[in-house]
Amino acid sequence: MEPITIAMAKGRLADETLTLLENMGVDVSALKEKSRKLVFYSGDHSYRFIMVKPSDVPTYVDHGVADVGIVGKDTLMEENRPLYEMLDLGFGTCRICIAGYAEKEPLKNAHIRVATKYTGIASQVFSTRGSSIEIIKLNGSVELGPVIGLSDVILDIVESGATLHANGLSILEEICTCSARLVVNRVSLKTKESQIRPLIEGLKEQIEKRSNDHD
Amino acid sequence: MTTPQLPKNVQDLLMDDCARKIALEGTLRNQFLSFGYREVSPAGLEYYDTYASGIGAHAQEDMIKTLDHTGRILVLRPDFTTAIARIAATKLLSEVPPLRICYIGSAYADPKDKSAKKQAEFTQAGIELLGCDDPKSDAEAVLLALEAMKNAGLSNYMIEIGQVDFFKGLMEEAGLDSETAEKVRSFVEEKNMLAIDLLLSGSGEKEAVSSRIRELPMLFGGRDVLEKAAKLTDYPKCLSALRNLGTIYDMVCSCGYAEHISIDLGMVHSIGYYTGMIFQGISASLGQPLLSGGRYDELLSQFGRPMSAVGFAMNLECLLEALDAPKESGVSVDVLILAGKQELSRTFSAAQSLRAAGKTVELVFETDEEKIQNLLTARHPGLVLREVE
Repeated sequence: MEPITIAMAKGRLADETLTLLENMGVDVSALKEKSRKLVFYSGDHSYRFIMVKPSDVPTYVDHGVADVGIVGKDTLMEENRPLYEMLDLGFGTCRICIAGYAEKEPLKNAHIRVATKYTGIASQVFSTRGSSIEIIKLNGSVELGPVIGLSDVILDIVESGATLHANGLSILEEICTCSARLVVNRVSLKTKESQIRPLIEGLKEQIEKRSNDHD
Repeated sequence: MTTPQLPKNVQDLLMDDCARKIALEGTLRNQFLSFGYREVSPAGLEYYDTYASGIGAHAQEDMIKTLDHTGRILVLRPDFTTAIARIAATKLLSEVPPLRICYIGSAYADPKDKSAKKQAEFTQAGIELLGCDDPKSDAEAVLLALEAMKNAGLSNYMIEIGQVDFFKGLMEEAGLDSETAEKVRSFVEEKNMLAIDLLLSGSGEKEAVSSRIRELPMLFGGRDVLEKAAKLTDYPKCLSALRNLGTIYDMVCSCGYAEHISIDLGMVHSIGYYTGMIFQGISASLGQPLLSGGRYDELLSQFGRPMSAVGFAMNLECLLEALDAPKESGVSVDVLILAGKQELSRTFSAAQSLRAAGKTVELVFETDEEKIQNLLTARHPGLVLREVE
């Protein structure tokens, strides 16, 4: 049988996912070795893993070159592609927030300048509100925006809030909570159902087990 | 000089690809005609108003628009179904229903930035069966789609069927108005949970609705899906939708296609005119659907001739991508005739008699021996030149 292809980004999401797979009995030793390879197979060749940039995971899955992807909800929301979002893996939790100087009440401005790397989410969030916005795309250190006067607010993911605090900013509004998701290509789910369903069920079982252990 | 460029998201088809496409069109045309469908070729330009409002409306930003000399807005045909409904309601009044109509041609859209298949111009081949509301006509549309996919050469293909009334019933039961329900539908189609949560955060039904919507993607598979779905709700509209789907499913299976049909209740696709069964065609060799259709009983009344209707359209570019391209060129010339040194009347009549016998014949007007040899190796390796006595 052809392997199913899983796209994921190197780093914490991939490591956590591999642990879950290992607990399911999948041999992922090939991925644990240090290597510059981008394509790996599980021991029995039932899974093929491709390592890509986080924001490219939805692209690979949408095109169907990867059947399954592991990616943060924030990236999914930003990319906004027609994928099946089948499982909340429960790790990689963060919040998407609007932050700025609370005392200036920037969200009451008629026109708001928003610095963010999530330009898609920002335009979606503000599209239902009265204020007009100007989106300023930044690729990092977004917190600088209000500090240096580039923008009125920022829209970004917040884990501990320490960076915000250190720069005198506070959370003005929490948009939603994000965590790692398993996404599936619309066609693969049907044509490779016999392989994808057990994968989803197995992962679900591991996640439940893990949360029970925590309790 | 800069190289002339094409606009974004359109493409030229060169000889081999063009030949493949023409052959595929021929196969599909014959398939449709053999089922009694008659072909029409609707206008490629229409008034914007025809597509801007009502049941078959397209979003303004999705259409490619231009102006005529009086300043009225025109659109490049965004789909065929609306055009055929317009034709049936205004020009085919003397025809006794049911009408079986097919078409093959280009349609146009301004593609969204983030979609896997960005096509501003795409070829659709499809059928519409107007004036029949028997589930047998739904089954015929599905069977014809299956036959078309098979005869086009797909090996691993499948039709999935769903029923929009199941989803609509869920929305009604939850007490959502039609506008909100339509928004939820388009977000479910995109699996855009952020938008669903944002949309429903104000309504008290959030939890119940969201949890059912989240069930939908997993409600696919064989006939057992219908029983699973029936447990989710006892709303009459939902249950009658499930019965309707069961009837069609059983009919298609009984015609020998059990291996190629499945049920998917999470399918809530398309432009709002579907009123019953919907379906789409998929192939394991392509990451997105290549055929879609369904029942749309409301559309024709908009043009003044209420008639039930079912139909589908296939995207030929998707279909060609899903089919393995043959390694060898599909375009070939059987005979070359050296015509450089002869009277044209002699070489032409020699060519004509070969053509009458079914050969493709190309005349070579070159006289220089070396150039002829170059031409031969570059374009027609292995072909032998023929000289006229």
